[in-house]
Amino acid sequence: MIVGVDESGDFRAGTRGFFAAIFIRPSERDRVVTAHRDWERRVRRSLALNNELKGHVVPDRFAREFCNEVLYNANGTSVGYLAFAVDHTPASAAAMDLQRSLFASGYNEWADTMGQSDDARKRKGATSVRQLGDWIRGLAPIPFLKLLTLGSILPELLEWSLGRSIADGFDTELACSRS
Amino acid sequence: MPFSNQWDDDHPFLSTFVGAARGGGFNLKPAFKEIVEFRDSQATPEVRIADVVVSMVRRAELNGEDLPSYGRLREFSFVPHPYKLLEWTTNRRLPRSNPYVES
Repeated sequence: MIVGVDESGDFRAGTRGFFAAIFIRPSERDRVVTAHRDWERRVRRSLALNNELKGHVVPDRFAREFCNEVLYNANGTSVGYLAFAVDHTPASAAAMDLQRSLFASGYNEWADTMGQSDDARKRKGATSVRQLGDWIRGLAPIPFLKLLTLGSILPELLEWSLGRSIADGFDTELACSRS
Repeated sequence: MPFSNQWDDDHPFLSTFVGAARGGGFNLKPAFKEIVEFRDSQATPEVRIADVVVSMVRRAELNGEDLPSYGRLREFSFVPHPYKLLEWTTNRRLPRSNPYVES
């Protein structure tokens, strides 16, 4: 499966942010991309847009056409989707602080272990691991919330991707998967 | 991870992405890491399609916008509920060994 993911919302404190993942059968990609390009061209012309078309400005009439022309396919291989949301509450902010410190200490511990290894490649890799820990420690709350939420969604998307491919009988196309 | 019992070792997914068994699970091959990409939405149709979908969900579910097409969109959802709400808490699972530092 080809899985595309995007978000909506600014994820500020006190708001609910959304993610959606769409699932495209690899052998259907060309049809879907062509249908989307044609649809987008029509919408941009209608709205007299010069820049990127964002979903929040699509009028209902075009949203319906999007469903019928881009997502729907009469041969039974329509594009499916899953939606997720996360609230930026004080509880989730506290959870992010805790998780950030756990990540940072985990990466430090990992880097220490690698740094003491007899294997020169592992000792060299310790620096990268420590840098990754530092990067995570320095991430602002909103990017960290998005990163963690996306990280917890991805395994579920993979499960759906495999399950749907098997159930719909095109699992031999899984080698062309990407997200 | 759901695997079919009809798959043998030559199945494209297994041969491309699944490596050696480890503990109760298995390692994924480096090829798996390469299929997860962060791309610019403007240049990636899959992300732009997801943008339209997620915007419709947010407009209808959160903003309460009158969006009759949302009913049609829901027909393409894999699940009957409009979205899954994730809640983060400070509860943590019991610690387990780190598979990356096992000898």
